[in-house]
Amino acid sequence: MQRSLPMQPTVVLLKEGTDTSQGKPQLLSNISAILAIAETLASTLGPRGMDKLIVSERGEAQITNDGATIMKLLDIVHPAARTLVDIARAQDAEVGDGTTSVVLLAAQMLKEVRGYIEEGVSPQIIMKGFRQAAQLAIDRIKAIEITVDRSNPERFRSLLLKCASTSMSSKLIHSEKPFFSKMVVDAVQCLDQEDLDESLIGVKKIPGGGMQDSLLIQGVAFKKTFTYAGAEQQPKSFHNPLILSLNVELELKAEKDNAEVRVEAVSDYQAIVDAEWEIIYRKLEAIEKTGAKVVLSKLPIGDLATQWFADRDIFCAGRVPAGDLQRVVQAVGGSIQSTCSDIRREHLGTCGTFDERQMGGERYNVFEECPKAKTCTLLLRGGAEQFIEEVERSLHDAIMVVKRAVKNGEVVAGGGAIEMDLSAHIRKHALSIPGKLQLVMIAFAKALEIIPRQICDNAGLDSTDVLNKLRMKHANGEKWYGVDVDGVEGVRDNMEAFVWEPSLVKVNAIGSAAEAACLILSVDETVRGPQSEAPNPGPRAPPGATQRALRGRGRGMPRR
Amino acid sequence: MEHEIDGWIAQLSQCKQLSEADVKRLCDKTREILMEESNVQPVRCPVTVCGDIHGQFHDLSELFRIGGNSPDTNYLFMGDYVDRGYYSVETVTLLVALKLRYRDRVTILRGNHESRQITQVYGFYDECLRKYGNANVWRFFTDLFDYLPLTALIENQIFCLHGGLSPSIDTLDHVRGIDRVQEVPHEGPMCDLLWSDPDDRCGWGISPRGAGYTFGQDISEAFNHNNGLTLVARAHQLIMEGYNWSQDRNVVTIFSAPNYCYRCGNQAAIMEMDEKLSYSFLQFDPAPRVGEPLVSRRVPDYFLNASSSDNSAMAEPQAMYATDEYGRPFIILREQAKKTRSHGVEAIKSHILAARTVANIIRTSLGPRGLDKILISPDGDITVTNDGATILSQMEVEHQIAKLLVQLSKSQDDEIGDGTTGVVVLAGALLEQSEALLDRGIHPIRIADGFERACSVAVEHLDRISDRVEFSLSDTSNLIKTAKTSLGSKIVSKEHEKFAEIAVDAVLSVTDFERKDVPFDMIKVDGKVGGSLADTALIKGVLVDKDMSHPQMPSVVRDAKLAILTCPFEPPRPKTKHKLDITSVEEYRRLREYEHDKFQSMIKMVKDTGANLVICQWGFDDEANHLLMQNDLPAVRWVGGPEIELIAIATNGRIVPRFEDLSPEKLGKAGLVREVTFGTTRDKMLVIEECANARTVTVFVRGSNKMIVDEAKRALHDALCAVRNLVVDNRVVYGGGAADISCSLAVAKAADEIPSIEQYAMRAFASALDAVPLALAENSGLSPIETLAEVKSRQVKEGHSTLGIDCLGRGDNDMKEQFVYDPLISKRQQYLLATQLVRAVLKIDDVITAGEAEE
Repeated sequence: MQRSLPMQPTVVLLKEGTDTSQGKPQLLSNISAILAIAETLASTLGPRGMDKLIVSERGEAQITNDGATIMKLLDIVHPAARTLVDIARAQDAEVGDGTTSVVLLAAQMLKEVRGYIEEGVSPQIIMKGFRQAAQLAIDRIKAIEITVDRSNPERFRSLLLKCASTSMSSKLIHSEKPFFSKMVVDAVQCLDQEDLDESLIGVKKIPGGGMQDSLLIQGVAFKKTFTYAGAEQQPKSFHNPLILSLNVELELKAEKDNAEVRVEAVSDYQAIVDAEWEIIYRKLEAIEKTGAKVVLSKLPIGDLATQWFADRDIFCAGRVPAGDLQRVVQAVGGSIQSTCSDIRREHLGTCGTFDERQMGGERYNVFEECPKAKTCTLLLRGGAEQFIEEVERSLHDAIMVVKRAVKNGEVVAGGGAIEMDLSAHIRKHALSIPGKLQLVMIAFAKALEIIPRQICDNAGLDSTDVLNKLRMKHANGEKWYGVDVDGVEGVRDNMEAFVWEPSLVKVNAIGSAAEAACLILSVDETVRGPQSEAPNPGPRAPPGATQRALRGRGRGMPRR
Repeated sequence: MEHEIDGWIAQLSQCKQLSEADVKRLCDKTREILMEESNVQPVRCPVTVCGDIHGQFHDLSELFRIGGNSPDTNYLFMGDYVDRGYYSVETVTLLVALKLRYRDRVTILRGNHESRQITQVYGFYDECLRKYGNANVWRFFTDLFDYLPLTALIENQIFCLHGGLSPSIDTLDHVRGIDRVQEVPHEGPMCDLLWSDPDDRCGWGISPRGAGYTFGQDISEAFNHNNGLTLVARAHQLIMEGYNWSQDRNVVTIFSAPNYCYRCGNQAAIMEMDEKLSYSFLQFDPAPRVGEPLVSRRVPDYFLNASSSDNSAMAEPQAMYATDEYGRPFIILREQAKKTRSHGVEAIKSHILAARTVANIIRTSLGPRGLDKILISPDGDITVTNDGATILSQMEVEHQIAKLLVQLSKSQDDEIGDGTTGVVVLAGALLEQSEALLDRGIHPIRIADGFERACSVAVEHLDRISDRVEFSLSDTSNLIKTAKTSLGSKIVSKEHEKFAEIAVDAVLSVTDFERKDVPFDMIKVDGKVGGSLADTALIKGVLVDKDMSHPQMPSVVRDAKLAILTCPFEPPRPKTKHKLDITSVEEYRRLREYEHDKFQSMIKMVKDTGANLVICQWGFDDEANHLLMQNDLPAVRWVGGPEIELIAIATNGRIVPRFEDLSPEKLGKAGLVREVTFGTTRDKMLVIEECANARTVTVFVRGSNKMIVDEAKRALHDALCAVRNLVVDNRVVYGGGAADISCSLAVAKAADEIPSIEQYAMRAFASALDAVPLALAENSGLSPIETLAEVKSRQVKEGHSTLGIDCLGRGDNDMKEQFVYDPLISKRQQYLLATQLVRAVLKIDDVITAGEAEE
């Protein structure tokens, strides 16, 4: 008999619960999401930009104005919006400044072309236009950038100061610009000029005091480590001491953890005890013989050794954090030793002065006048931890800018001047192109104006008015005119006003923003897998974690 | 009664539960015993320390079989008797019965599972219901659990507890101060003690358990060091080997439930400790199972409960969808619905309100007539104080901006140690002023800029009006006056003459005049309840809260030569794990002789150096103690690390790590060492005076109750700081609001010369500066505005910047005459910090707060 046909199986293509959305609506929804993010960030731009206070689930608060930091803390999950986080982070890693601008630019480019998308212009054409426009912009920057004259060190230095202070103008430390820009430039200049490894600039934060009490140490400083009884009897100040850095534990201890000694006779008992003491004493004597006056170790230095050193007027510090010890070694020379035997003079470092100093509520070990002083330490002070952290972030931006300027040395005028110029340039060029590309490039040109516009908005100026003035100036070929937030006029020649920015920051920002915009435009479908199960929290669920797993905890500040 | 309990124990040993009535009687009786125990219950050696049991009754029987039966062996159990296992009821009943029967031989501590909430989730509650048909037994036990001690201390040396250390606890006295009779709270020191875990990372960390903290080696090391401990023994974590050393042997974890939950396959361990505090571990495997249900493949229900509710906590966020113009939802931020956001001027205003509220709270404690606040912590600790930094730090402020104010006063405290109230009042006033400016439409950053300009004007003006205070070692009257100003508002004002003298004396005796360095470490402030504030004394030397090791030793030693030892008075022991097999009687005798000779030679070595007093960081054997007595060598034992160091510095002695290294030149010298007793109590303390190095001093504060002693200590700290600041920088400005008024005038004048909008902000700054004198006048019962106006006009007319508010009603407004000083750096710091804070607050226009997960 004829069997009925087997039922047509439904084709299950995606796992149940998978969310797909596609087409033009998806594209527009992505753009909306990005605009929402950019709106949050917009108010931080410029010298009158405001800060954000972001409180995490654990109740930790951060006050910041740094675009990359805000993006990171917002914890964005929207897949398209996440690309913004990535470009901000890339900008931060590459040039360290201009993170807010890059996000704003990308968002504004998308906003300008949204209308065209709605009308059915193919994203491919828009992308093509953007790429061309970005290339034009970058070429233009290269053409008009001003190379800094390095022949005169004094002028060069004053230029670096300007650069640093521009980068600080929107931050909390705005009012202390001269003080901090000097500090930043000093810090960068005391590094090896060839290499400029900014990780050699140590930053130590000490709550208390005003920001003005921050200082730069040409050398290394670290917080006094945990010490055992006897440390106070050691001398705390040396001139030209030999410095020994160790990775050795100086403590009376079992040499091997799993070893067991079988004592045959009572008389042997004392011998073993003596042997253990002998081991540690031999180490200590070897160290003394090297002539080192300052002994540092990554591992603990026990009370026995501490007192032994105190008897011999040697300073010691155990459990020095690895990063600090590394910087000490780089500053004073020598190398970290993993054994106490066979230490020769060349393994030791030295420095001009060593001191233990009181800074605020803490004591610090300070090494200065180091012969290989390719490193320095910023000691930041401030009324609250949040201030100091924000100061640190601002200084990081400034250090990166100065470093770039030292390395590349090309600058353009900031305060929206370069953007206005690029906008005018691209607009002019666009008019010579036939077809839809013209519209796209004009949109790109218009998007660039977001930077001066937002600076005006944040400073409470009339942006339309100021922008018209700027357009007029730039049409007349005055290419360095930008926004002036302090003056009555609202515009000025920012090159003369020393509002400078390294051209690299701008090149990178425009490049990444255009790339990000293209990336988002090229996505027309999102497929999201169903939420996977929460990961297994381990073989045993921690007892009692249930009701309170995520409860915010009010108390968390350890008592002093 | 005892007979009856023995009957219960016998019945329980058969794993047969008691009747409900018996359980009630058992719990009632035991509660009376537990009530008397301390939060840090002292335990004598020898003792066997055990970790978690978790209702594994047969394994507990195995434990007793291996470790010895109670009462032949003393036991210390570190909590977690119930839940997870099948015999929670029998286990906990047996342990409680043993405690009742042998109160001195069994110690039971509280674990995190000894709580109503946890037992309802992890099985004990269900088991009680199943075995008794109602929850009464569960209720009896959980009520009893509230009385269990939290921690135990073996021979003052090994600190035993269930979980771990707490950031709110630095000393054992903090533990002693906890009111433990309550359900385990969700946070705070009591919770931390029961929930924390050691961790490889340094410092405090958030515990993945959701309660307690994780603590690093640095923490445990410092804790042991500060409390003279050798070890923290704790349970709370599953260890495959049963025990685990961690953190460089500062912490040991002991877990005594083998094959945990009948499926983990782990070994269990107990720690045996002999009379000499040397410990050994015994590991054991699960008892052969009799009649226990076979291990089922099925995971017990409560595991499911636990894991499923964990999931629900971490479950995907219930996001509120935002929709775009096509009605398509999108989520941008994680858990958007739980995030709250405030924006723009509205955000700034809410910040200002919060900051002002905080400032208003402590406003009334400003000045000599300022009033005190009483603060009660969640643990019931009472603090009475009018020190701004203390009030704020104890208030447990939640609001983010208010927290900034707390940190502000803290940093003033760290840097200067004084003027903590003033800085907050000033910041509050500045914010109040800026609110009005915001209403007039001035951009917040322009306001902040203006404040900053005003601040620099004010600080410059302070420099101009500052005066130098002359003092020398012989003429300290000016210093004393400064100290008196600082003490004026504190509880000790009755005795402020005396306290001021003490503060000045203390600072001057440690000061290094050439480097202008005042090492505060050399000044120790100690307090003891009893006597009155007038009995407070400055001891030029060291005070140690210890007594002679033997009551018959002389209590006064003149011309003492101190041997300062960090090795115990016992035959040295190799650190390497070792084993000595004694095979013959001969050999055994030799060992005895060896030990005896060791003691003799140790005493001899000390004697030979000419020492007549031994200070020892560790303990010593009774035999050694006896020998020391015999040889007329007074000795002090268990002196903590910091104290040893202080003694060594004070007496110019050297700390000696072993007897062989002793030599006459390493001895410390002190003119007089005496034991002092207090009143009728038998507390004794050791005073070391006339030391070779006179730079160490101790201030010994007395007072009729703990609150007064604490507050007096804080007041003294402020006074010490005030004097220190003067010694470091002898420029002063005049107090009583005089400097503030003068600055206010200067700023107002400077404001008129500025063309831009900042002018308004500067005027506002000038009026904010009046807040301090206003508050002073108000607190002193004067009519604030009238008084201020009068003084202000006199300052302008007469040109004296020394005129201030006459708080004490002496009829004279010249603060110079009244000797009301403030160190210049203190005032300067106040202005700078307050301005900085206000700038930060004004600059924030967007607040995004991650929501809290719902209960």
